[in-house]
Amino acid sequence: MKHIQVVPPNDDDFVQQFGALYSVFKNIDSGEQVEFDLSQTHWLHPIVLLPIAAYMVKTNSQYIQSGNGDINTYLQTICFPHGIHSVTEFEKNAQMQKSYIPISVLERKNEAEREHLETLFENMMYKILGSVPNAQDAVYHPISELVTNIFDHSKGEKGFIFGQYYPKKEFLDICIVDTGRGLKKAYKDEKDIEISDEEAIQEVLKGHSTKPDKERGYGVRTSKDVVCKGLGGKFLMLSGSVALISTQSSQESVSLPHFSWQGVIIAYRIPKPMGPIDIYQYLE
Amino acid sequence: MSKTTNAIHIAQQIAKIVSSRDLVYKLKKEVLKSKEPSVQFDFTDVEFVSRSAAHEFLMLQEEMQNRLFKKKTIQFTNTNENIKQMFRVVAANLAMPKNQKPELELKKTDIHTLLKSVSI
Repeated sequence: MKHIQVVPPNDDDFVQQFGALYSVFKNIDSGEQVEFDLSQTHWLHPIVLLPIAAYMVKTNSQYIQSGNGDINTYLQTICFPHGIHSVTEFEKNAQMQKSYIPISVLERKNEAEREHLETLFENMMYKILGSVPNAQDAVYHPISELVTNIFDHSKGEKGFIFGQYYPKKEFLDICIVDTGRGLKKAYKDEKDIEISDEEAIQEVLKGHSTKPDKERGYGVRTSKDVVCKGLGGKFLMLSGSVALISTQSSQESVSLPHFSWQGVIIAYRIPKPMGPIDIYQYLE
Repeated sequence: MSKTTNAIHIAQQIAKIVSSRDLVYKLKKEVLKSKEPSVQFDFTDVEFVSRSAAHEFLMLQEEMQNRLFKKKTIQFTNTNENIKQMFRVVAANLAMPKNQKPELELKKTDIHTLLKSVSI
């Protein structure tokens, strides 16, 4: 089994954490069983932690625990790597662990449970951000749209969601991951067009949905705009060998040599809202 | 469905935050069960409806209205202000779609160059 040393940077900078994600998964063949060595880690941000969890669940890969007792306790608290699958488990966990949210696994086959679990997660995200009046739609919209995409487009059976708030720095990291067919394959399967990973991301941003219904294709673009323009955050979407990274003032397509993620990873960071946010200007 | 008011309570039927298109579409079965020509989707206790779910609600409303047989009118009731606004935004786009998709200005880079730029 391939051995992958996980050594995240000391810096919690969003781009540096993206770099850590790249370092972990580069040179892993799709579906390959690996052993993630966490022995040198003292902390993991959601953008690194959740893809590792999702990959382990998909491929039955293993991990070596950290030498640091605190991170091991944290990982146990958030139910790494398998997460929780039901409202009951979420509520039980929330009662016991007031500060941390568990990794939540939404399953295609349990639609009603899935919607309730997603509701609980979104409520919790809003609460830990301080329940700022009239900011809830800005918190709910990206999560709702990006999770819906998993079950509308990915053909994957599960969606993984996780969030971590940093109270001293007052920002929230959210990560949403699937191990489905990915963007490029979705366009190939649904529209019979052969495009690259980069072109697939561009099509998504332009609002070219794979679905034929009228007026679709708004989910990712509006979510990115709410996160970056509405909330002043940073947004990353990755599929295959390319990522989009977006801030309030810029967006870049980033090629990832010797790397390929089967599915989609979305990660974003939002500061604590300081007042009401009108998301509707970004939804038209 | 409530027997007395011909209403489908969305918070109970789906959840307090409505995101999924597939769950909205499944309400069609409930609507068609009704013997009345008009059905209410009651949004009491619903906190938020995503743009995608709002689109699905409106498409379902249109589909039921345009049927040749067993036509149904769907009314949305007890919506909070944000849900009303979401429906208005989506309905306006359905009525007057923007013909032009947004311009995309995307710089291109690779991971190594990006990481160097933030470590300077």
